[in-house]
Amino acid sequence: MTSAERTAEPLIEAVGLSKRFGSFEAVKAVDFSVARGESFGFLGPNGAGKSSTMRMVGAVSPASSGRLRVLGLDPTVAGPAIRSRLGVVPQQDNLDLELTVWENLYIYGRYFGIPKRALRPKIEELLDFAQLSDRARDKVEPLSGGMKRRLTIARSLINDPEILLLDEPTTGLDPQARHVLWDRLYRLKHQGVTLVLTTHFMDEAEQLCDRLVVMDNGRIVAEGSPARLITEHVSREVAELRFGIDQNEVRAAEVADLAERVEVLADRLLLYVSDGEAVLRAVHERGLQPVSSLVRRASLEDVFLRLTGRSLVD
Amino acid sequence: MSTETPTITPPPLAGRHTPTRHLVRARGGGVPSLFGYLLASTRPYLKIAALSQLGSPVLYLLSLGIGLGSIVNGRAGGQSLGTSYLSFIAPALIAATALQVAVAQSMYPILFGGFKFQRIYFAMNATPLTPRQIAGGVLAWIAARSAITATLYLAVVACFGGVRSISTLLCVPIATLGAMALAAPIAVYSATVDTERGGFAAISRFLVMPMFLFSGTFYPVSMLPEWARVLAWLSPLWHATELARWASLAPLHLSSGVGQVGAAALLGHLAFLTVLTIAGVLLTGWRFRVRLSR
Repeated sequence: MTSAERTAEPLIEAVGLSKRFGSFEAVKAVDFSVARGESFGFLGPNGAGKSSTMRMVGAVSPASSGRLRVLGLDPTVAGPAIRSRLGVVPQQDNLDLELTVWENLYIYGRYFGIPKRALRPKIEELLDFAQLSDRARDKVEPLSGGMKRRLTIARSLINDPEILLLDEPTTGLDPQARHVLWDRLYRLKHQGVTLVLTTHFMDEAEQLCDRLVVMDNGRIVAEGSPARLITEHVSREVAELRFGIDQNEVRAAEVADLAERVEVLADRLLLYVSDGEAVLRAVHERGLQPVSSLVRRASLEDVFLRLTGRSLVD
Repeated sequence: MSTETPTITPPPLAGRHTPTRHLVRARGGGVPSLFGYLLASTRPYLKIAALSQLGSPVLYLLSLGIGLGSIVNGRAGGQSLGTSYLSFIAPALIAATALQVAVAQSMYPILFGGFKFQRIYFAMNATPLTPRQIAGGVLAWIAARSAITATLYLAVVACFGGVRSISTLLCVPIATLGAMALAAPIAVYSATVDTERGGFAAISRFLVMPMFLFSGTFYPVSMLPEWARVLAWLSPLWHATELARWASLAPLHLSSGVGQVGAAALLGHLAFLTVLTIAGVLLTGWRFRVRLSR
């Protein structure tokens, strides 16, 4: 771990944290810590244990074993005190669809015990932030998915949280809505809010996370900044070659010596290399003609593939 | 809070936290803050709810109290009851209606709105509110709805001239207790099941409806065969009906004995309803905690 880089006490600290549901172990003795002001991510496919970890950090789901401290407090005994300082954006929006946008914020603020006088200006501010001011008096039901998501984020900020927990914040949104959301989250990050998010989108992790852990099957398999994870686990560039479904396996052997490593996927070959264009030329010089090819920078997707042998999104 | 709020973006959102402020807040808004939500969520249905809560007693009292009552009063019924049929069934109808309202509120809204689809209880639980507080707020709200229903019903009964004693007012708390004695255990069920598989419809048809017909609402259960009387004794509604009738008719000292309940029976009715209610409330809190902390 990189605790030497941090000066202050971590806001979240987990040691040997596990969560079991009956005989199924969703989270298997994970260790991680999050510093104040940091953007920290859990990257992994569905079922990796990200949401279970988030619910433990959110002080709603007790750990089965291990040690967890959030804001220096033990969630099993100080749940309400911790939750009063957290903002939570769950995987599924749980807004009240029959109430208006404004009412959703107001009522949620009341759950925190925030006085009515203080809530009104706060709501104006959050509506502005979420770009929903003109929809304040509208019911939530007809809002678009992106708007509902922004409202959920606005709602999670009603108590000026020290840590914002975001579980799959942009899953199910169209690309434009995702970018609007990322922009909002980026602002929060710059205002010093500690963000903790789960995602199975590597571009989201790269955009938003200072540091992340890769989770698979309830375990943490790697940890570091997106850039460092890429340099540590994969090459700089990737050449993707498509020879056609039945050809890929055969051709892999013919180009294996050109790359540091070759991954054979169902529809394409991935060649991990330092100079993609040069390798592509070499492939052509051997008289091989892929149906299509491209060269790109290595991403967290490749890191995940390398570490687990599977892709992030099935 | 004394923070200045600039009207332009980007708004300040974090980094100004003082521990004391959060300590004060740690307990959150508690059960009262839940009432704010429940009130607001009812507002869209306020007109229809008011209409049905006033319309239903008018229809019932017209058809049964006045219509059927004119036959009952004019024949042997009038003598054997010793009071108008309207004043005989009114306390029972108050108890039955409060119970029906409470049961409806303890089924679909809890399972579907709370846990399954809108998942609002999960949203509530992400705040300082605890599962027990959420369960308590939901049940307290159901009790409040029953009490309001009973009060409105009583007002309509009064308009029909069916209130013969001041202690008839006690019908409101009695009806509420009777309603919770059934609604709280049903809330346990709603908070436990993942899919209801027709369970709610079965509760309405095979529990609530027969209860309404066989709990001495329209005639004393002593008219029933022995075995059916035993069923009535198990029915929270029968106990509530006996208590409500006692509250409104006992002060009249009717020669027919209608409304007279012995002290031991009185305590028995109260104990039965109280035990069911308390057990239901405790178990609901437990089920909410289990389900929300998975």
